[in-house]
Amino acid sequence: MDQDLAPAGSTPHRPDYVLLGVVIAFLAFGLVMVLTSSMVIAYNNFGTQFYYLGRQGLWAVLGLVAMVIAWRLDFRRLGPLALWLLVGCIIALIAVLLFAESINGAQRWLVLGPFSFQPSELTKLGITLYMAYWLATKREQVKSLAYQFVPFVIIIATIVMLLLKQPDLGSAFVIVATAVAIFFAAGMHLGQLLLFLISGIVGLYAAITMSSYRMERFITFFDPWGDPSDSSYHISQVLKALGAGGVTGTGLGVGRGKFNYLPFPHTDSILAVIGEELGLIGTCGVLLAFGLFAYRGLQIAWDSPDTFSRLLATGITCNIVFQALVSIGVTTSSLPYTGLTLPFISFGGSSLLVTLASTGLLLNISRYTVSYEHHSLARGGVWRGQRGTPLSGAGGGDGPLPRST
Amino acid sequence: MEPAALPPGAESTATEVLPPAAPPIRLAVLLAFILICVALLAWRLFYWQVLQHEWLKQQASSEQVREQVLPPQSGVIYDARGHILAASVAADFVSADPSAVADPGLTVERLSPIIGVPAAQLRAKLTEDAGSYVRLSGKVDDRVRRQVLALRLPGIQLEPTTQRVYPEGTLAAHLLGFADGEGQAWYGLEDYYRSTITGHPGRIRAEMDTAGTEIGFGLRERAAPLDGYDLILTIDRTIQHFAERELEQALERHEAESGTIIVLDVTTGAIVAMASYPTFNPNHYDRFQAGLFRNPAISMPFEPGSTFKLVTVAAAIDLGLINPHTTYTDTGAVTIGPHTIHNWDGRSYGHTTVTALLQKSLNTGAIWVAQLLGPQRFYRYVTAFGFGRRTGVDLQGEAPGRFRNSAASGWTPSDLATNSFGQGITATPLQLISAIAGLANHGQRMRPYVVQARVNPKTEEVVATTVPAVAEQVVKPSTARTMLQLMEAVARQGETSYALVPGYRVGGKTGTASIPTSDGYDPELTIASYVGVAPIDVPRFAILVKIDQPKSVPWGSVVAAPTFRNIAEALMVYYRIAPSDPAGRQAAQRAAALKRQATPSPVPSDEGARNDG
Repeated sequence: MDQDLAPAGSTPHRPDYVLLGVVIAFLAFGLVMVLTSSMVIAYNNFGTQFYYLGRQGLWAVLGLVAMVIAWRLDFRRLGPLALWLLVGCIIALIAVLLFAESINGAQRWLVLGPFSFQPSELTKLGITLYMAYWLATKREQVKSLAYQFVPFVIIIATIVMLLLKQPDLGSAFVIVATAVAIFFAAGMHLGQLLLFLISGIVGLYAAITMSSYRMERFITFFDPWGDPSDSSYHISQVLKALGAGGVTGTGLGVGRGKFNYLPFPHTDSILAVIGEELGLIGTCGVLLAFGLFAYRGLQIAWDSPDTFSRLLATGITCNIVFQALVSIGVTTSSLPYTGLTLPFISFGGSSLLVTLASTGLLLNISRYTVSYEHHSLARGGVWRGQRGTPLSGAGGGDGPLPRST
Repeated sequence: MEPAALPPGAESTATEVLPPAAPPIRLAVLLAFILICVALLAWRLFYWQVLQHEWLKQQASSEQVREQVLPPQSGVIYDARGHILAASVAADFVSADPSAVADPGLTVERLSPIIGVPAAQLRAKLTEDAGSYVRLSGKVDDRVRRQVLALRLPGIQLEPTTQRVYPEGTLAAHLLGFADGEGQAWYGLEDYYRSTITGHPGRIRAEMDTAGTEIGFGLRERAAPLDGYDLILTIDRTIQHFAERELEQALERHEAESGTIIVLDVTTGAIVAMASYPTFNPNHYDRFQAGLFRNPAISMPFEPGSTFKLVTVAAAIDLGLINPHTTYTDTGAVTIGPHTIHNWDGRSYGHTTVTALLQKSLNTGAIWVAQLLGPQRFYRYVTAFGFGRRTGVDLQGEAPGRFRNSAASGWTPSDLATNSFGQGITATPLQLISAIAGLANHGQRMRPYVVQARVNPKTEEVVATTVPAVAEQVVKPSTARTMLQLMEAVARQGETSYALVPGYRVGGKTGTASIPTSDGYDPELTIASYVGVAPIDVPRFAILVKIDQPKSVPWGSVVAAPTFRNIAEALMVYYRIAPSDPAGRQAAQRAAALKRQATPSPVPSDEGARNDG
């Protein structure tokens, strides 16, 4: 680590091992669940139960390598590169629409040799990095409508339009929510937030009513048992698998839903497989683990030494957690049906690689955290330097942190 | 709203330490928002996985637990010597998923000639049917199946099933009946033994995937199908074939339309051959009129005529009222009430013995015997001989025949008179020959049957054997013996020397029955019949020959007796029954050989006997 690039007065300390533990547990659990949920579909399509496990294992190794790199490099240098990364993502999203073949009715994958990649996954990291850097460097203009809100809306709208074309409503929703969270954490004016939420609802309404299949899913959401359409079939199968598990589940490996009943059992519906085989214990375990992930991630953000770190940590955490919450929400029919993977657990190379790389950045940030006395995220209170090196200008003498109105 | 917690020189550079500018309280709000979402989702999970658990589990299993019917294998029908008369072979339906057919025009053009369905019909099925399944053909055999497969037409499928086949074609068609395209059995043995032959389907109740493949670790209940049993018949293919050919030749000779031949083993009641014409081919049942499927030998009662005099005479002898030598005075006509009944030739014979009565087949004599018996005893014997009720043969569609008992309303003494020589009473051919067979079996009438054994094809174990059953002791053994002597005398000296088989003692009786119409009897149409027993020494076979409406001559003696003789002779040779007069037989064979040399075209009957000898 370049010392001169490290925050003054702080040398890297140990990363957040709790967070690392959660991620490793997710990864191991995910591999097991990918195997059990994909064995039937893998055997039917490729003649071996282990096809998807092998692919996922490979991506997990690549992802761990990316995670270690991301946690060792000087993440501050990524800030100025964020714009180019985002531009690259947008070009890739356009390329997908122009060149990609449609798989399961959606154009999401760019094929590069033996690997296919989803630009939408990288876009999630790209937008997080870009917004964190942008808001950190222009923070005095955070509340300016012209300088902040309008460009923000333009960038987000562009990406959302490209994603809806694929179509990938789920990813679009998660990206918007993540961007709003970063903006919110950066001190966005609450009036702007309200304005944004209203325009978001209007946009969502337009997205739904302008597409017959989204409309169908939306209707299905209110009556999953009603009609025999595809989306209704999907959600009813998901609920049957989930419900059949009960509290303790049918046992690992012996679920029935994955025998061609569940749609995409190893990707979109993996939580249903977890629910069927491991019951409420399994699903709530996953849910609570994401809650723990959110807590640790936001704690890192809280303890971040600077704004860029804080916003980046916030964005990465929210991106992963929001995706998990939306995925679980869809699986429990709490949100309209949309295909979205469960981070760390679902099969999906691009998603796993980007998620692990993002987590690497989060762990990286966790090495530079400072603790503020009396004011940890969980307790609330005053800034307190844990290692006796209070930050200049944010000194303990200032008393309780001034609150925003 | 954001107090300046910012350090001076807030323009950030990477080298400067930037104290967090954003209000951390917003992070707490974000975390709170996330945790609220977690709590809500935990409730949703609890709702589906605990509160809705039972209902969803039941929903899932009602979809996943499926039943599949396992079709049983149908049994084979064998003749007495193990030749296959009916069997099931693999076949296929050709069907289509119209939505998957890429090029309907090409598909129709290629498929139509192979499966033999008109192109227009095929095109209509492929284009008009909205569903994802339409059956295009009936069952096709393996050759067609291969051709269809070779075409590799998208959307065209083969559905495996089985097809009932009858390798002997028309042989014993009335006996066998048939199974239609859906496997439904009709007529004959196929219908009578339908559950025995088809067995019982098994079923699998198991958790299956969407395609109906079982889930290995899932619930599984299997009831194996019970395959149908094979039937072994009493029918001998050779005799059956011979009888069918003899029947056809007799019909041709006498320009008759229809007829029946039955060969019965008198000692057991086993039916050795049962032939009727016109017949049908069970392999192509759809090309024949439905009326042809009924077996005339058991389903179509007729008035037996003079052959019935044997029953009348046997009853009187059994009661000791007469013996073969008892005489009566034949006046040529009997008047009962308003009716006057004449002999068949209109002549009167004066003092006549019972033997002569039968030899000359005198109606007036039969009336005299019946009047000796009186109605009550007469009808008791008629019933004992099995008339008016089904024989209980194991074939579908047996008719009982009818007569009017003296106790029944509307009966008049003239009924007794006409019944005594076989008019005003109906019987199926099988009923009639079964009664005569009783006389040939020490007075014991056996229940006729066709299936001698049922065999489990898997274990080759005989599951059930038909034990010959005595239906009734009709007359005393001594009466039966006397009747055989009388029948031999009739065959030897009467009008029916056509029936004699050289070297063997045979007995029998002709019948030339009138055919009742709506206003009395048709003066032109008759049914010529012959019932006989061979050999007389140790009776083995009872044979019935019935020729309907011969046009050359009406008499049973001329029309039916030669056919009886041919069949009897063939039976004696085929079953290696020793002649009672070997010298006589050799002399007859030499004479026949000389005759064949003299006439280049041999008599068909002789040819038949030679072939089977």
